[in-house]
Amino acid sequence: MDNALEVERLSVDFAGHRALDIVSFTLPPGQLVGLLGPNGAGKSTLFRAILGQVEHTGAVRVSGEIPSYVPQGDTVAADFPATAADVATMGRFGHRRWWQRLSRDDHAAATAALETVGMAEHAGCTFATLSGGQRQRVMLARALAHDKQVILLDEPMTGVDSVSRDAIAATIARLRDDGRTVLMSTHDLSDAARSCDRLIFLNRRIIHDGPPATTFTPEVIQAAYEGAAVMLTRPDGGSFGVLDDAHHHDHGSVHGHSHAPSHEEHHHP
Amino acid sequence: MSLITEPWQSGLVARAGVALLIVGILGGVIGVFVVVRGLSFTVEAFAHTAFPGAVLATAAGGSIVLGGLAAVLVTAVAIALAMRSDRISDDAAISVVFTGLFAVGAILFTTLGPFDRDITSFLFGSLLGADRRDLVMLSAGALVVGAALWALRRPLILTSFDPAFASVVGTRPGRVQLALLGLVGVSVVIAVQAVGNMLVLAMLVIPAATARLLTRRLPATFAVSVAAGVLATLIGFYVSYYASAATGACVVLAAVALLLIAALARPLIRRGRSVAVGGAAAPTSA
Repeated sequence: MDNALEVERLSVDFAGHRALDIVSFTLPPGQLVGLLGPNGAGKSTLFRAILGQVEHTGAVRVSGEIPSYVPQGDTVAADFPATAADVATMGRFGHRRWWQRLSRDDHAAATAALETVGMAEHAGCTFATLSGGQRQRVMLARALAHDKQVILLDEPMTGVDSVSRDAIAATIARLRDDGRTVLMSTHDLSDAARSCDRLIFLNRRIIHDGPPATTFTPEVIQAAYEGAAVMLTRPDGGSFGVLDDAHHHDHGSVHGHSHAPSHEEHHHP
Repeated sequence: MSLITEPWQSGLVARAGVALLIVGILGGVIGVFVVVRGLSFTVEAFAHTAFPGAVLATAAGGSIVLGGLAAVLVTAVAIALAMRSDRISDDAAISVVFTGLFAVGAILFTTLGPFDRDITSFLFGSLLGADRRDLVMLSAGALVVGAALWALRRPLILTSFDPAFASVVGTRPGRVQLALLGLVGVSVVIAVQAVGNMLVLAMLVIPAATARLLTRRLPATFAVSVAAGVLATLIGFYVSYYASAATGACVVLAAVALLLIAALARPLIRRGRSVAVGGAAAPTSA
């Protein structure tokens, strides 16, 4: 199998509602792919289907073992009695049989992962006391310690501060440079266009799949967001998309969870 | 010194004290996962749903404990299945199973009785009636539950913190939940006939809740929970003996008092932590 991940004619239904409709794509090794689409487009469902956590039709093939996964931050029990080091170490649990103790190598891998995401100095802090961005970095460290070829990141930038945002972005770029395959869902269109090798626009089905140069267009973005997105143009002539809040208030809390670029981002290179 | 040793001179009282200590330790251990995963109401349910099994077993001339165990295992499966459903909330599902099975037990009790054995002790406990055989069974049950929890420690940690990631490392959250419910059910059945259902609920919840107030990591939570369970048991035991008060109630009140002290001490402990140099990585013991 040359590809790191192959998804073929994947469909998911929830109580008669089609959440994903015949989705197919392949991811080669060493590629960072942005998964974009409005809330309810099926991004998290696609991750759960790839991980075998929801019933689906079609095929999912992964090179090697099951991918590693960083879920959205609000899905974990943040008040669980554990430090950042404990959470990172959870990434090593699958590497040992139930009767085996974790080795020094396991603890070293967790410590190194925390250093990679810039959280080594907070290793002894209780997870519950960390900020949202710090928690997200610790969860990313857990995925690094898990040490898999394919890594799925479900909105890793949501609700994070700028320091954590930079640390997460640097870590993801490093993973790609190390030959890992990263599939990352995000609401930040301009950031995805800047950092990803390829963008997959999803709205229950794949709207468009290709490099930012061909997919980051007003037509594609507005088709994916069903008209609820607009394109803005930077002073340098480049363009980027933002979510139109007026359209999304009817659908829930897109604004609250999204990090659509503000007008300040005109200054970004 | 005699004040401390005097209660243990009587075999009857000493056996009651040992039974309480075993339940204190058992409750302190499994109570951590009960509290962390919000299963307190499930413990209460188990204490009642064991009743129809005990009644049927008595009517058939079998073991009350085995009948109770069978009933709680059925309850565990029913609750685990109900918890998977999105159409009914967990507490509503537990309420349905809990009240339904207890009602079945009440009807069986009135229609199949009267019995020549007293099975009401299965509900309310018979602390002073604990004999050597009861203590052996309690000890064996506690050891089995403790060993199973140790074997399942990583799946339990993963599914308690992040079920989505747990499945990525090969853990099946549904099966882990079922296993934990089964262990909680076994703990309740082996403890309830010695100490009664109120004390079982108290010992499986309050010490662990006390530990959660004071600790930041799971190993420490277990240690403080067991210590709180044993301390509450000893305090309640001695107060009960010298004040001639109901033993179960004394133990429960001692546990509640420890929890209140922990709640009052918590701000001081947090202040101490913030003053201390923190941030050093500590290896997990999982």
